[in-house]
Amino acid sequence: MTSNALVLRVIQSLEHFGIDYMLVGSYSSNIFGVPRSTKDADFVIEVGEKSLSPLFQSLASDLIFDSQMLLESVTMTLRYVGRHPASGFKVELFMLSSDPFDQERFRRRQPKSFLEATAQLPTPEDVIVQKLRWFERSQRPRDREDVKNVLAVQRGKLDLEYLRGWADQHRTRALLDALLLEVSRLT
Amino acid sequence: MVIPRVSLAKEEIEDARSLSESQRLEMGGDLFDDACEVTLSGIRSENPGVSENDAINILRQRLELAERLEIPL
Repeated sequence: MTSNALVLRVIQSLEHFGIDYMLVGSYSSNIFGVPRSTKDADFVIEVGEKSLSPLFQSLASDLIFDSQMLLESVTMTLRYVGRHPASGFKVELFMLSSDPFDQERFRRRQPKSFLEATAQLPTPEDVIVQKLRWFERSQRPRDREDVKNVLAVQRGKLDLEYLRGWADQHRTRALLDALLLEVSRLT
Repeated sequence: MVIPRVSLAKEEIEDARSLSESQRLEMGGDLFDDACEVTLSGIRSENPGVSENDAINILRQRLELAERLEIPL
């Protein structure tokens, strides 16, 4: 099974069990930026009172999920991690948090074509806001590069007022402005 | 010949813009699958006679190492 087929299988299972979701992480920066290889697919899911056991059971032939929920130390959100044994490809399911931005980007998610189906993804602005936050907290160079690539590819189409508003709230405005300047020299 | 970095970046951005959203969305997974195939070929070549399961285990160890290396200390 290919990695994309595996991601589609997760999407179809989430939809089957009525679990609202959004595909985030590198899949979301790839669609709006410069594509790069990704060894995992990250989902934000809204579970509410539902149990995830039926979902895990339905995916068990392709994904082995850790039995315990983990705390993501960068964003302080809870997640389940599943692995495809044959390839090592990972699927992470992050619980939608009460963080105002997490709530807002989830509300603004939009359908996009993926293989022969549709996947729910954040807007390009929300990918940028979240990746800026990740970079500020983890200093992972890849996140900075992803932001720069989305800013460059989407240049002229972005709602800069929206970006600056959240960047001010998250104290990432200096980084955003620096990357906007870098991109203006490239494109 | 040294190609200025700024030109390469511009080219990458233009290439990405020429793709559709769905092509960009699918490309990350496809690149990963292709990269794993190349790495598995290398593992088989380095370890003649290695079983498929053992080759996949070595690939997984490398992926885990890559993940650890990504996190700045």
